[in-house]
Amino acid sequence: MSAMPAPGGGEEPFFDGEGDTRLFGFAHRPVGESRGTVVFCHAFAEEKLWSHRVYVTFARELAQAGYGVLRFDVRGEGDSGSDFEETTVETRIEDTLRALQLAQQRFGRAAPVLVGHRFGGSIALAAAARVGANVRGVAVWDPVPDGAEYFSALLRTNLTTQMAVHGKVTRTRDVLIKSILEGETVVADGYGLGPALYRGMSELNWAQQPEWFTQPTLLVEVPVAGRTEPSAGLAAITQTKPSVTVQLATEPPFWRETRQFHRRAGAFTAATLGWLGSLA
Amino acid sequence: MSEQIVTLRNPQGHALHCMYEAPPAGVPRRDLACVLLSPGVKMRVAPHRLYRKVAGEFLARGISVMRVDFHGLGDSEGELPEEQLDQLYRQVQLGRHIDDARAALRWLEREQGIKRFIIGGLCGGALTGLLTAEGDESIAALYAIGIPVIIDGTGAHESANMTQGQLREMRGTYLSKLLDPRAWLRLLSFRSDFRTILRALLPKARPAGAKGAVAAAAGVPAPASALAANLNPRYAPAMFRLLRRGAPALLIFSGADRLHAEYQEKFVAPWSGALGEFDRLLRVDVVPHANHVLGDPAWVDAARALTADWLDQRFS
Repeated sequence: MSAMPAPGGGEEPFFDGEGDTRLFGFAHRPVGESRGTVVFCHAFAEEKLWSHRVYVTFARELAQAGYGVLRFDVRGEGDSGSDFEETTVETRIEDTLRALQLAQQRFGRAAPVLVGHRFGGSIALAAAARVGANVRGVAVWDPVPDGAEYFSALLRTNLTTQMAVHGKVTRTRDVLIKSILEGETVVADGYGLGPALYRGMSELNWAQQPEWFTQPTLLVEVPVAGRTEPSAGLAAITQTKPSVTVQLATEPPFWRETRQFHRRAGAFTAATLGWLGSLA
Repeated sequence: MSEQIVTLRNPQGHALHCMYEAPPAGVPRRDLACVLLSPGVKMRVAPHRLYRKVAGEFLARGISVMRVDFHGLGDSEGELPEEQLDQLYRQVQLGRHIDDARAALRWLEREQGIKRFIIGGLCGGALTGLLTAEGDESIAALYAIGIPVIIDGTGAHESANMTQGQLREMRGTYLSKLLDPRAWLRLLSFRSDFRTILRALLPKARPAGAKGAVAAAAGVPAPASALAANLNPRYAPAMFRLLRRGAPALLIFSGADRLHAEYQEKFVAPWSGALGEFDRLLRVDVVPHANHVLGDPAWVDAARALTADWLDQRFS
């Protein structure tokens, strides 16, 4: 077991706002002289819950390294307001912009860096594109460059549930997506996925976002077995966007159930800390 | 929504970050709080925010709710040393987080003046609630969704401790694959779990569930049959002690979850006679087809309805 950083009493949970607009956040004050501010965008739905302890450790390590860190729950998830089914990609981007402001109120006016995990990385990139120089850079852990493909993958647990209840798949992914587009809310892992969410996710296709990647960007990719080069899609981005760096980092899939207890993502953390240092 | 962030400390000094919610305006607050404890390695919201969904039934009846992050989990301080989940679960099942639960109870007494508690949650949260109740008379009832009776991390092969219910279900699955060429290919590639297949297809060769000795534990009636080798040694003493002091328990199981079969075969079967006298206290309900985390709104609604009915019967 790696030594974990002690929180050191510099942590503070907080609410911002009330009712359905309430955001829950957690501020980690930097130890020593501040080197900058990081706002963390969590992964989507149950992936966020499986990953949560990794986020906490990452935030504590960054705080020890001199960064102020703000973690937050988007509306519809965790302890923030609103029902999950009422939220969209747009509410997630709005929440991220709000979190950036909250981070600046707490840690100073310098432009924060956004770090996002999986679909949270796409949200971070979308938010960064809206505020330009008000974000110093974006790091994405295990990118999800195709929102539609990701949405389709989310439906897997619905198929598993169909198998358990009916003994067979009665509605395929294509049928489910067609039903969603007709207005139905389809449940996966306990979360209701509706048409607004599907449309918003489908629009977050990196290949179709020329206005993204204007800030320094780190894409931390988990290589498939044996691969030593970035995937073609991410490599293509670096061809046209010189501010983008891709690093390969091997991590177990701590964002879903495995037989291990995951409390730290050492490779992601090292890559991110190194890149943050290069921004100074 | 009037939740309040509560940061309290357990006896080891770890800050535990919890959520406290009082009943909404217009609902008289009662001298009773429900404490929902971290399930597994998930945090105080539980999978798909299940705790926030069931909390409404308590709040509507004037019962405050506190959702608790254990040390080393969620946002709380502390570190858990295990690398493997089964070893971590084992420590939870042996009562690692009882002190965390007690810290929440004492905070509610001190800061909110509440003296009686319903305690529990999902899975490991439910079990920690039961183990905490064993030594705390302020706990008036147990609220348990998918409470495990077994202990993980025994090192035995998974198939050794399977229940009749599990083996029956697996037998059906294997038989349904007899005409599937892919299943045969997998079998011939030696990637299949032959021990489990044999146990499922030949149940009489070795009965389900490895057995331990018929052991007498203090305060526990003598079981009528040998106990399962992987029965949690703390489960029966804690449950009988809770029931003997007249505290009611609601156990909600999911129909598609192995935990219900384990409860029936490894706890109820050996003590069916002794449990008879507690029928009025121990309520057991099953949500048909549901998975372990109640991952469908209809299953959550069913659990909420059972919760509401139980609360109205017991605490109206």
